[in-house]
Amino acid sequence: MATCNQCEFFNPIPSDADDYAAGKGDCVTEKRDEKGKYWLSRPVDEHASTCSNFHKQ
Amino acid sequence: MNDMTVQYSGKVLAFTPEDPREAQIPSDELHEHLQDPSTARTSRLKSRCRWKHASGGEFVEKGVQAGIERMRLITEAHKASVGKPEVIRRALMLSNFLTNTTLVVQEDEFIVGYHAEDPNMFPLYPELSYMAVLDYLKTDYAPQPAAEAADIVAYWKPHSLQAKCERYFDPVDLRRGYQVSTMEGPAFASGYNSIVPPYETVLEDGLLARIKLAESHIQEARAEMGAFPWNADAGLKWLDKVDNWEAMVIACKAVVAWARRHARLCKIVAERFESDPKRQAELLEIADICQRIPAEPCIGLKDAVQAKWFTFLLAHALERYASGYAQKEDSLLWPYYQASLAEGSQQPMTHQQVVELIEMERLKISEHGAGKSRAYREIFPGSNDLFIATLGGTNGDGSDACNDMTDAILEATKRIRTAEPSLVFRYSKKSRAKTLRWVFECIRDGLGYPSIKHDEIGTQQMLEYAKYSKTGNGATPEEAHYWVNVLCMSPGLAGRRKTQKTRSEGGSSIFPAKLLEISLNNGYDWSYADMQMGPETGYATDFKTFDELWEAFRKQYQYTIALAIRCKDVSRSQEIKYLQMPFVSALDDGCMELGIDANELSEQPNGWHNPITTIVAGNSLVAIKKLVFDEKKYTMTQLVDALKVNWEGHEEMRQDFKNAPKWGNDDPEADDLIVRFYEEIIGGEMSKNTNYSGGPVLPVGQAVGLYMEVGSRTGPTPDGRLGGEAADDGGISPYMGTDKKGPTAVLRSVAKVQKNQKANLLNQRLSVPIMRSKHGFDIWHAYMDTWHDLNIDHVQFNVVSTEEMKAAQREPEKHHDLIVRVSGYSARFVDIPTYGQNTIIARQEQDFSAADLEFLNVDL
Amino acid sequence: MSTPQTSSATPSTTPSTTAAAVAAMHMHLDPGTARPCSACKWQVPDPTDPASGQCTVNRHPGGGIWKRWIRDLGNTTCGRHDVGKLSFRDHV
Repeated sequence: MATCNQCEFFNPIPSDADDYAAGKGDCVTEKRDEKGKYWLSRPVDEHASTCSNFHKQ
Repeated sequence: MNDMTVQYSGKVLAFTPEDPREAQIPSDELHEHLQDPSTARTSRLKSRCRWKHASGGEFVEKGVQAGIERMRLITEAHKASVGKPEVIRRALMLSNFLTNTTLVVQEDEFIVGYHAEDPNMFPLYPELSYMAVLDYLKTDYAPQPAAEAADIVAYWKPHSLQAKCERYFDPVDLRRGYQVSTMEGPAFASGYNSIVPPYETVLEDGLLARIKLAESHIQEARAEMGAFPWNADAGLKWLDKVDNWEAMVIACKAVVAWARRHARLCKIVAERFESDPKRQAELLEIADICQRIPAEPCIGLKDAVQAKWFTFLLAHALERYASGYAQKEDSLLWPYYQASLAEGSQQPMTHQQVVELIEMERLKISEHGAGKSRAYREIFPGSNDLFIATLGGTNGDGSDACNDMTDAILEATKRIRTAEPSLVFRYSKKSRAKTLRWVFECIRDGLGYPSIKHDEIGTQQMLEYAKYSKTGNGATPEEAHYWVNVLCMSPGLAGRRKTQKTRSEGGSSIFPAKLLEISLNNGYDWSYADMQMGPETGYATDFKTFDELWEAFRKQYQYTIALAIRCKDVSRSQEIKYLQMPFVSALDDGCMELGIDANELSEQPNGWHNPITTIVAGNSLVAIKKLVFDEKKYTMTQLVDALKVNWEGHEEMRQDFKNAPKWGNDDPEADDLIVRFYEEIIGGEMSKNTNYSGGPVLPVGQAVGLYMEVGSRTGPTPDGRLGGEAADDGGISPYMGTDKKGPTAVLRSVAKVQKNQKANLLNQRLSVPIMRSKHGFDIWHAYMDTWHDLNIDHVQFNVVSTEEMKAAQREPEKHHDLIVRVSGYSARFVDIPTYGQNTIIARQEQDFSAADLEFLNVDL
Repeated sequence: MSTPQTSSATPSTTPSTTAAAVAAMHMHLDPGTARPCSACKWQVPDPTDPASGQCTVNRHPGGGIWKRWIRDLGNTTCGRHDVGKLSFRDHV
């Protein structure tokens, strides 16, 4: 079973960040609708199971 | 092209357009030709704007939806913090949300930050009103997954502000309040709120400094508590303060981290998704700003606008819901404008770049959806919510407060053409001509704002209220100059301290038209709810004198206003216990110094309540007095019988009542009684009530869209109105179409009401050809100076033709840029229901006759 | 005020003169009714309490919409019940 840390959209949070926690990362995905493009950032754990957006690194 | 002329001062004045190119534009589509975004970017941003206008209780745009993240994350934190002090729980709720919520950055935008997990969504507030959120669950835009949303609402019901407050009221009184027919529903049942955030503190200090200050207060408190000898009276007082300061630290640290999450997001988008080098560089610039702001003080205008935006989201949508955009925007941003335009600036900008930045800010507001209750999705039709920023006026030393930042905001407003945010301009005889010209051009372009407030009346009012301060620390003469409109109409202090933090202090409405209706019928509402709505004050058919009716109304008004203000103060008492605002408290210098939460601390009273539909009641009283009691042309029984059948079969009688003297024509037969009505009852009785802050509650005559809602719940009235027709559209505005003696007669009527008032909204519709002619500015300026000298509190303008509005009704898809002034706010005309559109079309379009021009002493 | 434009916002009525028929036309409690206000196109939710509602069927040719409060959405009906959904433009 793939985990988030194997996904292209997973970005580990730097250790000097205010919200750093071991294994925590930002899941950043691009979305598009009829009004245009936007990007979402959601905190995830590196060992969480991947979602339907999974894209291998 | 028009051929309107007036003979004045020996000349024939023609009103051809000042800009000759306008002669080529069809008059029924003028508004579609007025926008002029300053850059290609703001033009793009406007064309793809994610509007969130509500109307008739629904959202106009498809795809707008309630989000679930805020509900989910605050619930998680609330469950995990059982046993902790309530203020700490509130801070932890905010912290959990800010740490774990999904962030949004959109293409092309420069100001970043959104309050929900998707730019098409808006958050909900189950901790406020359970009824409001239950309503959402039944709609097409309910939060998903539905089962989870239902569980969350069920969890919060006993913990909600609504549940905490309801138990202190008789269910009969509650049901009367919930009708929204004699009074606006209690805010604890809707979640509606307003605030004036201390933006200045964020921009000047940065949050790291506030954290340090709170931490040092905690250390001092601990030292005091640990000292010998122990004194319980003094020592125990520190406990709540320590909790408040600790909550401030938790909240501010979470906000800093949340802002820096945006920095990370922008950097990731720049490095991994964006291919345009220019946009990459810009995203990295935004990342730098978010890394520093609002942690540190602002160094330039880009910092300031971003810091202000983050603070707005927190104070108005994330920590708690609040309507509004209250700030003295030009004064607030002026130091940073100067810093950015100065030689060698660390954040250099040109004036035109400032205009672009403000256009972008206006478009961010235009995308800001509000998770309001059903009532508030009805009463501001054609807009997202109420957003009103204040400009102009005078500084603490009495000098003109207008500056180049004022002009940049006005220019951006005129160029980008959005309904929101609305602007208030504080009019003073000291206001510089350059800025007045911008104000006029915005009005002339039909934006419906700036609405105009009398600078000296507002300033003096702040000083009057200061006298009642419970802490003896009300506004100083200098601070009294730094006021803004808290929402549409009521002045309140702005700045680092003493600002209004909750609508429980001032706000909400009472409806004289409905009260007059039930006063005729022993307090019973036969026309809408079929229930007793107030005390049994007798049947008008038994009254022998007009005074008996007058006194019956007084009693209905006394009962309802006391109930309404009690609702606010009971809510305040529970907000103090359960709805603390540690982030906002951290910004207020008084809260920080004293260790008191923002809901609890009151240094500057600002009590008010909005009478809406007063003129229907006033005109009705005039008609009754004349036709029933003075001339005895009809009996009261005949009148009441005619009302009960909606005048059917009594058309001649209805015309007699309709043609009785009306407010707004400088006619003593109407004005004498109505002035007495405003001063003795509307203001006189209201001011007998004392609110939480120890001051009187005064009337702010208003309307927003409530004149439509309340009109639809009010049966026929003795002013000749049919059942369900809209009521009067402004606090002191003449009823639609009845101000027939010209604009200066309106001013002369309105100027007569002076005592026991806080504010009164005056809607006027001015002629398009006159305003857009070369004489337009001079006429308007002379009008404004006369208005000022007559000591009138407020005026706002529609400048739009009936022709254009009717064209928009026929083909709404071709009129997206048509904006109108509803009342207290502006809206996109095609997003207003037909019922409401017709009320604006019905407003008297004021021409200026020679007599008017003479009264105004216009120099042409 | 001008007449409302949309034909879907004009209630259809069948004139009748019997007292019972007139009474049936007006809003009344009818427990378990198959045509409750909750499923009627003229109903909008109460501004505060989602368990109640507002009837908007009373529309004057001059444009006024005279609402009536509905206490019990599920068990109230009238002779002008109709299905469908109105646009926001047709409401207040």
